[in-house]
This record gives sequence, C-alpha cells and structure tokens, in this order.
Amino acid sequence: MRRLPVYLLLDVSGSMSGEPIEAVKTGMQTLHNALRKDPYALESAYVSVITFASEVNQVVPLTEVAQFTPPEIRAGGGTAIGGVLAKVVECAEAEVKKSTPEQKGDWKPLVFIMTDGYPTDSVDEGLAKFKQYHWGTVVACAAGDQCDEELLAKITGNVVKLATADQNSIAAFFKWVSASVSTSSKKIDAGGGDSTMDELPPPPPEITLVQP
Amino acid sequence: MDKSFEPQSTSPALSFTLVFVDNTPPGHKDRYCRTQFETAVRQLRFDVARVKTPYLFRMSQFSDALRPGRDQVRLELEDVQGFDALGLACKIDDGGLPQIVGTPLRAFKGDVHIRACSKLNGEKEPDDFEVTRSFEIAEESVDTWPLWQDLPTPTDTPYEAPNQDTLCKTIPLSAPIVVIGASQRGRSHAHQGDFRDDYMTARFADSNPLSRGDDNGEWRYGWHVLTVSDGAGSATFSRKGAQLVCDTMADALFNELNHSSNSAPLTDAVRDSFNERWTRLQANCFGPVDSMTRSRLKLGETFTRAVYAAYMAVFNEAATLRERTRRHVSVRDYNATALCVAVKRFKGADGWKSDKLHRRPPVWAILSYWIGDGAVAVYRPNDENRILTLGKGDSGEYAGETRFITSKDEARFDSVEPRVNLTFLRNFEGIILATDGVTDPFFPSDSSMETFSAWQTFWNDKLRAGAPDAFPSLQNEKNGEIAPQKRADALLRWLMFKERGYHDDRTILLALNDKLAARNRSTANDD
Repeated sequence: MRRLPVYLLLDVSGSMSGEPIEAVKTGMQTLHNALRKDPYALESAYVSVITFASEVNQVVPLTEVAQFTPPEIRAGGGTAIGGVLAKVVECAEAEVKKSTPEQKGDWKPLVFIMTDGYPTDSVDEGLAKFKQYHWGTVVACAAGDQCDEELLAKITGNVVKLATADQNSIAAFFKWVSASVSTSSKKIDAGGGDSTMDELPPPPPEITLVQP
Repeated sequence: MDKSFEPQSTSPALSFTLVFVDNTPPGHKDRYCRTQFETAVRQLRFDVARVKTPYLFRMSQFSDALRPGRDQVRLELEDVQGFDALGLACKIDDGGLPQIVGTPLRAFKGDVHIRACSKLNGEKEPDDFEVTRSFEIAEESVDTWPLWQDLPTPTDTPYEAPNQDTLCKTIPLSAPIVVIGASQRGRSHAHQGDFRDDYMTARFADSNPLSRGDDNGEWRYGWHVLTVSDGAGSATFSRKGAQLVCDTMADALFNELNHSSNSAPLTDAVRDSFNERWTRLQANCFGPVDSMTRSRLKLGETFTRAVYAAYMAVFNEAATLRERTRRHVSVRDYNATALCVAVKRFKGADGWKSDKLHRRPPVWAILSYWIGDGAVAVYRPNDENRILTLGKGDSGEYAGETRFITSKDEARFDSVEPRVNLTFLRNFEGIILATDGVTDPFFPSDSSMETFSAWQTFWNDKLRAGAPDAFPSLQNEKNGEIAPQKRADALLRWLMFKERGYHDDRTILLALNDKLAARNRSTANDD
C-alpha cells in the first residue's frame, strides 16, 4: 500500500517554554484526534515527529495514524535548525519507500517545520542535504516575530507566519496541518517541479502567507 | 469520539521500574550516559496496540544511553506489573533495549507508571523519578468504511462530470466481440466532493464505408477504437482534460484508420507486415521484418497526429476558458493520461492464400498507445498462458507521479512512436484498458503487471468472481445472452470494491471475446 509520510519538525528550544510549548502539545493532540477520524489519514498517513532544541530527536518514528500517540515534549536549549534538516533527510531515507520494479513507492513526504527563532547551529550542510531530497509539499511556519524568515524562505517557497506564538494561532496551525494531510494524495507530473501550497487547503485567518 | 477507540474495560494500572546499571570502575563514570537515560525516560511514549494483532514496541531511544560496546552499562527491568493480563510482556530484548511485546488479548486504555532509577556499582542512587504515560489497545480492527463521506460535486464550475458512467456495445460485424466499460468516482474524491477525473469512450466501425466488393470481406471489418484517460488530481480541470483527450484521440484515430485517404494504405501496411511476419515464421526465418518497419512508420505518424490533436483540443479549451473567465488557465490545468486501443479483425483465410497446408484462421490486429499509469493488456489464457501488456506504465519514484499526454513534448513523433504497439493475435479472451484506480489495488508492483499469474488472479478471482453478471457463463449461455447494458452495470457495481488504502477513481473498459471465454471455461471444467 502507498503510504503518505508526514514529518513534523517542531522547535522545542527554550524560547518555546510556557504557553507556546503547551499549545504545541495541545496542537498535536488535536492533530491526532482529527486524523483518527479521517478515513484517508487512517488508511494512508504515517506520522513522524522530530523535535529540535540544542539536540535533535526523532521522538516518534514514522508511525501509522491508528498507532500514533503524541510524544512528551519539554522546551529548553538552542535551535538546531541545521541539525533538524539533516535529521529529517536521514529519517526519510531510511523510512520512505521509493518505487522500484518490485515495490510501489510511498507518496512524497509532507514536511511541516515550526520554529520561533534563529538557528543556533550551522545551517548550510543540513540545508543543502534537505534541498536535495524529493519532498512533496514543504511548509515552514514562523511562530511569532523573532524568526529567521530569510532562512525559512531558503528551505521552502511555502512560508507561513503566525503573528504570535499563542494558543489560538498554534491550534489553528495544527488544524490546518491535519486538513492538509487529508487532502494530499494527488497525481502529479513525474517530470514536474516542486509541489506547491496549491495542493493544500487554504490556511485559516490566523495564518498569514509570506510571499516570496 | 469514535466507538472503536473506547476501551472495553479497565484493569489495574500497568507499571515497571527501569534501572540504569553502571558498573564502570569508580572514577570513569560517564554522567552523560545517565543524562541520556533520563532524557530517554522522559521521551517515552507507546504506539497504540491492537487486539489480536502482534505488537512489538522497542524503546529504541535508550540506545544512546547504552553506548554500544560498553557492557558495564545496561538496563534492567523490575516490578513489571499488569502486562501479562493483557497478553503482553515487558522485557529487555537481546540488544539490551526494553520492549513491550505480545499479542494483546483485549482492548485497554490506561496509564503506565514508570519508575526510573540508577545503580552505580551495586549502590542505588537517590535520584529516582517517575513518569506516567498512556497506553492503549484498540479494538481488533478500525473500521474506516463508515467514515467515508459521499459529498456532491460543486455546481459553480465550468465543467460538470457525472460521478459514474457505463458504456456497452455488441459488435456484430467483427465476430463475437462485446465491449463493456464502467467508470466510478473514487471514495477519496467523493469524500472531498471532488469530481470524477477519469473518462472513457469508444468508436465502433459498424459498417465500413471503404468496404470494397472484391476483397472477400476484408474491409467489412473496420477499426474499433477504445480510449481511457485519468485526469491528474493536481490539475483543476483534469476531468475536462480527460474527456477531451479521450474524445479527440478516439475521433482522430477512428477517422485516420477508417475514413481518411490514409486509411487504406495504413491498413494495407499493417496487413503486409503480418503477411511478411507469417511467411518468415513458416520458413523459420527470423530477423527484422521490412514491412513492419514501414507500417510502424505510418502508425507512428498516425498516432502522432492523434496525440497532437488531443494536445491542441486541450490547448484551445484552456485558451477559451482563459478568455472567458479572465483567469490564469493553462494546459497543465487539464493534465491527463491516455490509454488507447484500436482493434480490427482481418479476414485471414481468404485474404492470405500463400499457405498451402491449411487455411489461415482470422487474425486480430491490435494497435495501442499508452502514456501514464494504469494498464493496457490482452488476456489470453489459451495462448501459452501469457499476458500481453501493450506498453509500459510511466510511474515515477513516488506514488502519484506519472506522465501526461498534455505535455507539449509528448506530441512529437519521437515521443509517440515508441509508445505505439502493434500486435497480431489469433485470439484473445479480453482486451483491458484500466486506470490505476483499478490496477493499483491488485498489482503490488510494476513487475507483477508483467506476470501472467498476477493477471490470472485479477481476471478470475477479482474481476470475474466479483462481477459474474458482466461475463457470460455456460449457464446463461444456454439461457441466452445477458444484455450488454446489464453487463456494464455489473462492472460498475464491481468497481465499488473495498480495498483498504485504495480509493482513487476507477475505470475499466473491456473488449471481450465471449465465445473463447466460454470455451476456455468449459475445457477447464472438463479437466
């Protein structure tokens, strides 16, 4: 069966402590509950969560929705964006199936990156690796004003922004992520370029599109 | 909350104690390992288990703390409680990692209390801590079928498309061939209120205007054309693209093959290449067939014109809509695949008299063009049990990636000619044109689509067994024929088959040789 891999890359640096990290926890619960009610997600979507602070951890390996439980997360430390970009490539290479004559490939993975700050590690190597992998839609979400939006724009053409990293906006983001997972299995041109946000449902008002 | 996730009953809380044991000589203690141990405990979570389904959850996050190769550092489990009542065990595996393993007996939803502590050279450290994590055993199967919605398509759109379609025709003049087809909007489309993006059509040569009095009936049999197309999910108006591609290709090929000034030389070239191939076969002489090269050239040109016509139809449609709506509309918005077959019966016995030993039986010429996923194949179990896939699917590295006829580069001779297939067959049981919504669930890989056994399973166990009314049996052979429309309806009903994870639009178009099928089946029964 063809799986739709979904990678959630979540910033759990010190600056996310308090309301933001609680909102992310609630958000993941919301996402989980929504996906469990969606027949497409239940049958096809596989979710992985990778958190990054000073260190990067794949806290949930690629897991089918029916088996998924939200991870325990705690905020603290730096913002290893370079590290998490390299890590998600490593995970996808190990977990996502490509088509061969003997097996059918998975859908191209969806990637959602949420961060509220500037990287505290060196980014170039991770970014280069990340750009080489064939992702499906990649969405970078800047939570609040203190983000390196220029870097996010280098990661993907699809950058969205939450005005503040508060409960409401983060909840809206996770709701949108779950809606996106439900609609992301579209036949595309094998010779075509990157997937764009056109294939995702329109983001709610709490989320602003950052024009490249 | 959905019922299936509710716990059936609760039981005493689950618990275990994880002990980090470090027996490295004093002075060499690695505080880092203990920090990692603590991090790993705090990150613990458990996948949801399922009743009667083998479960294995390895707590792999401890591997960092264990530092492979340092056998003085290890994990131990103590006071494991509650798991055996659920049919599970919590233990340390061969690799030294804790795991929960077993086949759950019943549903459960509750907490696991985990106590973490460390022992250095046999001495218990005072830094114990506890975490509580939830653990769930879900019901045996999560039934997703009731969750699928069937939403109507929007009305404020430039292009409508019915959610299903059928097609049927008995072709009287060209021997006993029945064409039946069905197309059904996929559950994933219905769930979102999206249109069916598949389309199919056919053109039948009931009587051939080119029929000449002196050809012993050769020309009485015209070319029949069948087309199927699958519109790209990523393209807004692909339903219109699929319709334009099918209709334009069918019209263009039908006219080229049956009516145009090109028709007679083309058909002659096809017959010549068969003649030459036959003669050489009789003489056991293999090698390139000159007239085959000539007919391939003509066929390449013919199909290129048809593909170009399809491209232009889409191009003009996009321009018209752009003009009308003043919105950005491009050919890409109509992306679609194409599966085409043209089939003609040659009256071999009278037409070819060079064979002195026996009269030659009639022969079928099958022409095909295939771009994108899905399949075009000829099923002929009587003929050395071979499947003949007429071309190759274009699937990319990942799911959903394929090629479309609506790319401009595809309308060139160099792109079209290699996709054109010409085959001569004494007989066949069925010609199949199907979109990937039908083939994907039944063929686990591209290579399985080349194997007869996979097709045999598909044809007999899935298609014929699933839609018996679409096929004549010995029984209803005696009772008279089933009306073609009833057969197509049966095919449509079959298209609603439930296959977990496969919910795309489904279209299948079949040209069936009932007599042969009945004969095969009666021989099989005699055996």
